Amino acid sequence: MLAAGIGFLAAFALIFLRTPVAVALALVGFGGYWALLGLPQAMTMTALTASGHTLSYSLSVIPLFVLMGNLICGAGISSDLYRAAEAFVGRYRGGLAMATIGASGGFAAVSGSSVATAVTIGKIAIPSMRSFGYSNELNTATVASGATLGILVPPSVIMVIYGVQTETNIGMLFAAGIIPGLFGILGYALAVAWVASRNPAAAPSGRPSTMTQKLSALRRTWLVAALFIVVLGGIYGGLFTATEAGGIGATGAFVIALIRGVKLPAFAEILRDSAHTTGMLFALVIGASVFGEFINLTGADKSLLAFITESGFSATGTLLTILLIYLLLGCVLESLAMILLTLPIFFPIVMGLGYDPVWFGIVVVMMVELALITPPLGMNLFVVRAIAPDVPLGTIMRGIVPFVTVDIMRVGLMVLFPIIVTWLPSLLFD
Amino acid sequence: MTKGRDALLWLADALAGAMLVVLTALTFIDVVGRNIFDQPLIGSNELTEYSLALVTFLAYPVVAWKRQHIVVDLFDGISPRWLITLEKIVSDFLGAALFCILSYRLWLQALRLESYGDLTPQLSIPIFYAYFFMSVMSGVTALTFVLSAFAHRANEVSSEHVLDEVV
Repeated sequence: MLAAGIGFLAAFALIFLRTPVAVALALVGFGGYWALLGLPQAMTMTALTASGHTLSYSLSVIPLFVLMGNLICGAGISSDLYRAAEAFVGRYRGGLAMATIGASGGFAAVSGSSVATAVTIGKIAIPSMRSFGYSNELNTATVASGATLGILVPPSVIMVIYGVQTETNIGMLFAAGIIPGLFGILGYALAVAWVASRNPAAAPSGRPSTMTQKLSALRRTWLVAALFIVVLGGIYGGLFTATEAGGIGATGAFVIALIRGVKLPAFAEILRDSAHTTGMLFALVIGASVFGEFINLTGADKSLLAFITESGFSATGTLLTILLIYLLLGCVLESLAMILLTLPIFFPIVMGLGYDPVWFGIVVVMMVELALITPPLGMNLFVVRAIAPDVPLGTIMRGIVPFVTVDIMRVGLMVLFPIIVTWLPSLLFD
Repeated sequence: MTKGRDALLWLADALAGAMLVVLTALTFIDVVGRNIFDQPLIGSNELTEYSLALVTFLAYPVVAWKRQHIVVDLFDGISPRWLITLEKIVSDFLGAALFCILSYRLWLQALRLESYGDLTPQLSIPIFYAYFFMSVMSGVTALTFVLSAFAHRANEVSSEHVLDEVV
């Protein structure tokens, strides 16, 4: 217990002193093992963890979904998605902001990254909303929050990593993300409607579209729909595993990029970026696993769980505490770091309290979504600021408040009614 | 010196990128072969694992050199420049230490696997090659971290930019 406590403190200290998260976690795990068992054991454990996580068939899912997302980003399909959503809801008050949310949800269905979603959708949606006179508060906040759907609507790189670290079925996690994702779209649309009703000038209505225009705009998005259906349909139809779905998705995204006329130098760039991201993610997964080995060795998760049950804390109280810790950590830590650092201790506790691993995965992903848009360190706020450099961060933060509010309500809903999360995966897998 | 370095970085990127294509193709051919032609790709699992080792261990030196690992730069706004520079240098040495450990131990593992003569189950590729490769590339990565600590670079990639690409 003491050893684990020192380990967490050391990891935090190193991380806040700018040591790469992967290196910090691996070295603390290594040091902890050394202190408890000896140097040779520590070296062996570290090397075995690194080689075991590298020569691992199931982890090939990480580079493949990263590549798929990067190819889709390069293919420039975001404008088609936005136009289609605009054709349907653009004429309502706040309609363009709602279209942004819808397009983000659509893009999320073929991309596993929130930041990628923010960048690609934001570049299209922000200029469009501005030309119709939408307030900067609303248009930046809409892009920032809509983009969080990128990690909840499958496929999702974060879910894959959660699945890998906790040995939870990735296909079930993907299925479990769909309905909360739809709730997210609905919630954000309500937030837009609320802003529009309070300040109609901030969210005027766009131009109406005829039925023909709507259908032709919709038809242009068929590639995205087809890829989503092939990837998810293949998993649930039993044609391939969630791991293989990455390869199928990447192939499909490659075809889409070819159709959309992506040139060879751009492909080279996409491959290079994907390789770098893969290296970063593998370093993180390995570092976190070395750290996790050390935490396991200390048995801190078991003693903490025993303490919680013996002292009569309720399961709900413990869960709420964990969620509160995530909320606070999300304000200061990068989201992947937050998950990888905390899972070795929180996951066994939450499982020990009898919660469902798939459900907890979705709740964790939603806490990350929240962290992505919560000031002061919400990553998406900075991404949006990078796309719209003339908007002060303070304006973006003011605009985000209604969206953060509906997000918190959504997490509450999923905690109160876990069936919303677990229904679809149990339908597809049992 | 710079030219040689850039060529090496380019080579590592090109090989890693090519292995990503191989990785994708392996899965695609395996799935299509199994479902349509009733003929899965022999050895696709072990080839996938080998490709993964190539992609990641080729990427490590590049990621280290470009300082693309995820860092938390929460206090950059209030830290003096010299402190940030010091933190970067210390981090580079910590990274070098980690990869030295890996390089050393993976080498021992490789020697042991060579003496056992372990082969992959379907294609009978010796497993120890992968371990030697991982060991050598860990050594290269450790060296890169050290070089990175001493390199003075005016316009290096900022960490915000790096975070852009991950989640």
